[in-house]
Amino acid sequence: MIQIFLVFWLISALLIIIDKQLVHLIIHLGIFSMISSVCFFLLAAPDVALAEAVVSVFTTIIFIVCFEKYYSLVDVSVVKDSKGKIWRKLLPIGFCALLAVMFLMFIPDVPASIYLKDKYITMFAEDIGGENAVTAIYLGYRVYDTLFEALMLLVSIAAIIHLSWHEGKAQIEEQGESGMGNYRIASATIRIIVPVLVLFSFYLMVNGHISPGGGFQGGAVIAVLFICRYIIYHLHDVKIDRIIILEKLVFVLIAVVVIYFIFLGAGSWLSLPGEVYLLIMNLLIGVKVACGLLVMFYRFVIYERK
Amino acid sequence: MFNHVGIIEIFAVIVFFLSFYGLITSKNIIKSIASIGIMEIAVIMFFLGIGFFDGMKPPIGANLENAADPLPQALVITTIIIGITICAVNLSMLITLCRQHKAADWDVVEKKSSE
Amino acid sequence: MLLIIGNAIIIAGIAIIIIGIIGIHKHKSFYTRILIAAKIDTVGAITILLGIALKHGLSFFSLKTLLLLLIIVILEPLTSHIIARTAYLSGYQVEAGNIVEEQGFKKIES
Repeated sequence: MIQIFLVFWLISALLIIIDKQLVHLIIHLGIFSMISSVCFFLLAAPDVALAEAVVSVFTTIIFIVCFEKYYSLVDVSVVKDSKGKIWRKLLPIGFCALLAVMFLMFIPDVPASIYLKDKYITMFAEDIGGENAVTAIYLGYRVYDTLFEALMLLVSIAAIIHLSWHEGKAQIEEQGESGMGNYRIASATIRIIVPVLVLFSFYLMVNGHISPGGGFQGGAVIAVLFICRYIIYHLHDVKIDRIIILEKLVFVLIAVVVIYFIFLGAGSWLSLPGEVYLLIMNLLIGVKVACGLLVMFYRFVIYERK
Repeated sequence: MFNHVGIIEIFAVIVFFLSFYGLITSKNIIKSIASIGIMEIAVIMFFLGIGFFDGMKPPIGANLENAADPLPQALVITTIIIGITICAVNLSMLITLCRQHKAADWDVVEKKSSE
Repeated sequence: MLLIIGNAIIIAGIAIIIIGIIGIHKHKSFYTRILIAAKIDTVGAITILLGIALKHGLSFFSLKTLLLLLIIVILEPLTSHIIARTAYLSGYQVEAGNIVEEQGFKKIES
């Protein structure tokens, strides 16, 4: 089963590299993300598959905004396909093939270590709680990774705000034909779908410790919800500054909760079950990820468009 | 020759070096950014495939016999979110470059920035 | 009995998808292609999910499958419709065939 999907995966990666027309990149990236999500599911990793599937929506939208900007700024007709010598094309292929073969040869001939796997799988239920081993590991044993991931998100948002071009103020475009502001079918359908999406994201966050899902996936679904709202109604009324302040506050809260529960062991004084800690952390991480992705998206769309 | 390496690892390594080829040979910067994204997913596939055997179950639930290794999955979930932020930072840098030089090809940008 | 009916419906769904893929590659015009792709999205997905729900009988799993079916019935026609409408609004002509080459998102003068 997985071999078939791996072959498709290779073909879609090849399409991204080989295709000469740049616009096709968006569709090929979407296909690639979808197939890799299916492969992750077949590799017994439903959490990773869910995260990849949700995040690929976001990647596609960012690439669409970037392409719109690219074609309005760059004169495409100037660029010509320069013909180089044949060895200049063959040399990188040979180099990469050589590297791949060397890499495969130097993989050591020993089975993968299962010491940590056995330890985590037998101990996580009493150490941290819950039934999902993946959530228990990234919120319990390896909580430093999650903390620095949250910090990384904050830093990258600072980088995007610093880099994006604004000339003092945001360029708010008017509602034109390009938007779907007064388009009945789309807005009526989205009115039916929005409650389902909100419910789904909260289901992912609240059930993160006993089923596939968690803070990252739920937060990304909330961000997708706001993106839908922007695309259909073309509203610019979101205050980016307030989202940034909320994100910083939530980051401090995450750090406080981790210090309180993991380092000081508050769960054992207050005789709280471990599920309470997992629930609080999943909700906080969900809000954090949603704020981060939303700031990125609005920054891209409002400041970079047209 | 490669008997000790599973099929998933072989495919992941091939896709990784394919995207490396795309990164070093592509003329356009957008294609290089997309290649970095593919590279990252190939690394994720390699991590998940290392300890995997047929018939493994997800590490979720009360009965965890014959479950897959949960450690690489936990490490990889954070990687996916970091990957999208890397992509966004790269694209915003690219747009700034486009505004300055009106070009997004490596050769043209290099020529214009050296003038 | 339910198992056999479910399997038969799933096979019918797969057959619909295969016929649709052949149809996509047979026609060259964009609007015909989007019509056939919408058939794959809606009819194929609905039949396969219905077959899965029938196979599992009355259970929580088939309830979840039916919820998924409801969302697909609402959303899939909308996506195809929006793609076709956007193509029409941005000036894509039926006769033009494969005109969009390196022009990207620019408008095509009719």
